[in-house]
Amino acid sequence: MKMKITSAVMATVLAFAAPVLAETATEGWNAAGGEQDEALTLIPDHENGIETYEVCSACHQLNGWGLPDGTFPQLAGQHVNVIIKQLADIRAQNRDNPTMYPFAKPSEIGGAQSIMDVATYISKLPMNPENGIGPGDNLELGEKLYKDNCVRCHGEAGEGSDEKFYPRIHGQHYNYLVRQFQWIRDGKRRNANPDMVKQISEFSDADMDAVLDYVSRLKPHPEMIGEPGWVNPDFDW
Amino acid sequence: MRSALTALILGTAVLSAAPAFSDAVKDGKRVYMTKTCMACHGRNGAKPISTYPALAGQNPAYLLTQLKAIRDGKRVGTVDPETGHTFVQGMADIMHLLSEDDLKNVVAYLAEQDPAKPEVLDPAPTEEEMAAAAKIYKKLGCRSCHGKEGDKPSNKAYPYIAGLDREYLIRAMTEIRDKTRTSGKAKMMFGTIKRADDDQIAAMATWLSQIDRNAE
Repeated sequence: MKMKITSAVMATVLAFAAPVLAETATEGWNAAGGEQDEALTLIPDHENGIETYEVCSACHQLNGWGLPDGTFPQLAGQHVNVIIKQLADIRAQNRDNPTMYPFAKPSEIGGAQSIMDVATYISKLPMNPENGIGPGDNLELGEKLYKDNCVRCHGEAGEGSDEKFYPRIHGQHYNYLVRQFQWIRDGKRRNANPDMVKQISEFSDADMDAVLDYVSRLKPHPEMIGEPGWVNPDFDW
Repeated sequence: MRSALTALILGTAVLSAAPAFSDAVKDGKRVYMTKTCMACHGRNGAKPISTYPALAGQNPAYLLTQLKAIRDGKRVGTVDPETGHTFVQGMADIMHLLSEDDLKNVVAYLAEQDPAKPEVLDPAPTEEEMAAAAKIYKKLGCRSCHGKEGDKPSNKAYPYIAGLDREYLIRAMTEIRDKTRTSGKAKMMFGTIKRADDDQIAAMATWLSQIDRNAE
């Protein structure tokens, strides 16, 4: 029984790893391992996803919309693979996040199954219709920068790629995007894809503000967006 | 005429005071559940994760002092070797989310909650160990501020310490003894705790962690 799971895990890891390695030669940034590998092979349980999510709601809110000031990102609709990978990286301290750290630990969140359950649950939540946006004073530059630099990985509409572990960035809070972009550019967010670090290394702060302002205004597909004031029916308080 | 007017004014004052208190508790619960607190300190402040303290049934004045000290960087404490950050860092990073009213309301809510159940220690401490620890506690003079079993603070500004997480208690006592934690009234406690060595602190922490405030 154990051997069967191991080979399944290996197959899954290779299946996920191969396209990344082939296209961008970025060995190591998504080396995976541990809970990430295991989680990716498991079948999600909806009820356990709800139960696990309760603790996440304390910061990311019951609807998964985070806070518009960017302290906490909106997670709703994010790709399952992306959520699993970020949790694994925070756990392994490849990504520094003191507030999140306890919740990336299997001892607190439950093991790989809970990680898969909660990631799937989050990915299905309707997205924030009123995310924090930027000042709106340099959108022409923002659009140009986005089209020249970001489309290849994050997509025309900022939709990212589950398969490639590239996050969905449309509908995200502007201040959160700025903080992460800055940390990726300046090396503080160590689990970033090295190709991205290189791509944005020459961005000035003004460039950064412009392109992220543009991104914060990109809209997900209408079917993915929640109604303003939507209350998550899975919780009763 | 005058006394009737006074009675009317006083009556109105009483009527408007009562709802305000229960509003604070209700608003405090909303703060607690949606402004991050529940994530680490657990449901109703009574099921903390890791080695964080339970807050249920704690003195509100004490809680308020600690919240502000953590918010303002006056309570920093020791570094968690597992993360390289202080134990309070994760909390300090989000305190900007809470308004002054939020702080007042959340402590009102927490004060009303039933105290947490003591954790189960494995191996369980022996009766001798417990008795010895109680003796140390008494000898050092902890009773005068925290009560006979850490369960009756003599002043609303002092915390209940009975039933808290053992590791947390060790950390708190050590930080105050070693002057790592000097915010609030910690300086006043220094004189008492400075005579405790690490073993005595561990013994007292074990004993205190097992005291069930609900059993009283």
